[in-house]
Amino acid sequence: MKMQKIDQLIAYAVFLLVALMAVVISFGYVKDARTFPLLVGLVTSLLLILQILADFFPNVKALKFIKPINFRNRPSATRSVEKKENNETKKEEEVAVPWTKVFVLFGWLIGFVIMTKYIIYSIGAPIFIFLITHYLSKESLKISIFLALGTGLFLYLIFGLILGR
Amino acid sequence: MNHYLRHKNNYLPPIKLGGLDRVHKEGIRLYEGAIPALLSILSWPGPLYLILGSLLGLLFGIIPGLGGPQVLALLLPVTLTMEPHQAIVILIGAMGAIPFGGSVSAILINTPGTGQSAATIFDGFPLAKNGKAGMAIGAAATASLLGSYFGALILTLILPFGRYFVLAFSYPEYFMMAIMGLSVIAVVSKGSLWKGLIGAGLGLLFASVGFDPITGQIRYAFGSNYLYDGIKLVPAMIGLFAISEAISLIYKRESIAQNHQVVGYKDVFEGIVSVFKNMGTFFRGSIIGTLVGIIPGVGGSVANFVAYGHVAQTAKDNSNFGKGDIRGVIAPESSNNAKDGGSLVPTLIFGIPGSVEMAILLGALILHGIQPGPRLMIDNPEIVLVLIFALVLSNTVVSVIGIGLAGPLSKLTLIPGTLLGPLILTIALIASYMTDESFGDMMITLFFGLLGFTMNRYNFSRVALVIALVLGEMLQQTLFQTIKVFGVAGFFMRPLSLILFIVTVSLLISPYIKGRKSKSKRQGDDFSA
Repeated sequence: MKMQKIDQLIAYAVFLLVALMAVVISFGYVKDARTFPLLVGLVTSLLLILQILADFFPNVKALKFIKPINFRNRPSATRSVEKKENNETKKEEEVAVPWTKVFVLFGWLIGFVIMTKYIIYSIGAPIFIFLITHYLSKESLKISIFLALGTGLFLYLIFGLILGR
Repeated sequence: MNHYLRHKNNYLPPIKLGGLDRVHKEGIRLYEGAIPALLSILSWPGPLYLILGSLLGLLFGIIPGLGGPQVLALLLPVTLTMEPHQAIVILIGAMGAIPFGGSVSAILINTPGTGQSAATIFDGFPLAKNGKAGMAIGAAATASLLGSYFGALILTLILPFGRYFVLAFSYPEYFMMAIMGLSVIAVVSKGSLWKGLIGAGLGLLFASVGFDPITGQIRYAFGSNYLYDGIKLVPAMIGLFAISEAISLIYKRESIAQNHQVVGYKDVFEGIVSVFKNMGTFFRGSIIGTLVGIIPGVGGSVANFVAYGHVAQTAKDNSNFGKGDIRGVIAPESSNNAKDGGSLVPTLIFGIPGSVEMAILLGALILHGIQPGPRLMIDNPEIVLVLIFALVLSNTVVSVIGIGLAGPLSKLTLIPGTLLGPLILTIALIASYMTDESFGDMMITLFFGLLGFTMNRYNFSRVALVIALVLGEMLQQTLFQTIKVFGVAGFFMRPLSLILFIVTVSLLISPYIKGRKSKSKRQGDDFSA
């Protein structure tokens, strides 16, 4: 199985886990509070299971109805355009940002949240923006410092001076 | 039927509506005061307050996370020493400018500044990506301006008898409104309806977090006090759209408009003209916005989704919706500004605030000795007119400013992603924190950021999730209330509810019928050839 398919399977599995957990937890609630999440959770889980099967077993005829057909009004002239767009989407998927990079960025963001909690935002925000622009975006030192100070000043003006926070 | 009749009077308390004679007298009193009310706004320092309020509203609208409640709360203490009509001018000036401000950030950075501009991102941001941000902003400014005129006109005309319309709405109608909003998912699920439904399912599950609206039981809070009130819309939307967009910008090292040319004012003019070319779309958006605004408690977040969905579902060729169709900007923009006029109807006639902004405005009126309610039209008709004129003028001011700034603003889409990405990340997180100064909001933004990125990567509809999150609470609350008060028959026995149901079903099946008709026509043509 390709790496991209494994990523996709993990993402689908997480969604399914969320929906199934919602169903299981809902049994702890009184009847009226339970009904809505129970029903929605069950339907979403079923939809997800069928979607997983359709994506990972594309040759199963019984699952063809899940393939991308929707309610759009499509004049015949637009269909060739849609085909072209689908090809472009595939190209985009090929250059998708690797998950490791995404998680690295989320690590930075969590760091920023912690910094905002323990240092005030007017100091935390410029530090964060400098670090992320210089080290992650690989911009020059001069531009990074300018952007950090500019953003810090803007945030202070809006939230500090105008809103008094 | 008996069940329905038995409960009907229990739900709607008897209110003396007055006869046509009273309506006529109130109407005459209202329209007689038009010129003095206009003069009171235009006399100095009225225009200054109007411009200040509008600029502040525009700024608060643009910054994601800030909006009507914050700007009104900020201005309220300032207005205490002012004359009542001056206070109204500055407050309404700020409130009227918020929706357009929210649309600017929706178009430029894929993050609606406020919930009422959420539907603008569906086509506004794709237009920006195609190098047509100026066109989208021009269309948004014009549709907002004309929408506010439309809403104010309807408000002026129906104020004397608006109470009848407000009282026509009960739980079944609210439920059908929510269903109508959810039907939009059929259109906005790009590529796969199935994945759109999964997105909506997840959205409804997230809408179940917090206090159950019927029993009061706390659900899915996992011991966190923060989650008792449920998942807040603004931090969730900031995460779903802004964070995931910023990640792509940083790593792909491209600007939003990528390789497209941004021509500035020529595009802006094209956007203005597009509104006049699509007057049908504009009128439908405005009518929906006004009607939704009149219903207390529904608000702009629902109005723009319903308007967008209606226009997308009824368009002859809707294949370009979600990819940068200008009609997808005109419809929600006209609706969210027309909604302001509509939402003043229950606030002024019954003293029922339909939203947080209206609640603060109501408080401001009371602080200035003006008591909204059935007697307002008799005791202070001039105040009602000041409100209406201030709303119209503030939208004029902000639209002119918006059109003037659209050219330079559209150039923002050319800033390299490596610079814009970190800016969006920082402002998004700080703005979500500043809404309530809550770290929970920041964590929600991060969670939905990761979710939005994942959904986007595997082609699940984030828009469907947002629609379900917005409408989820109203849906489950009114579902149970209708069943308990009216029984299941209540959904179909009340005329207005039945009409809304029929309209929704028609909107859903009409593309299928059209599709089948054109298919059989094509087959007929092939056969004769």
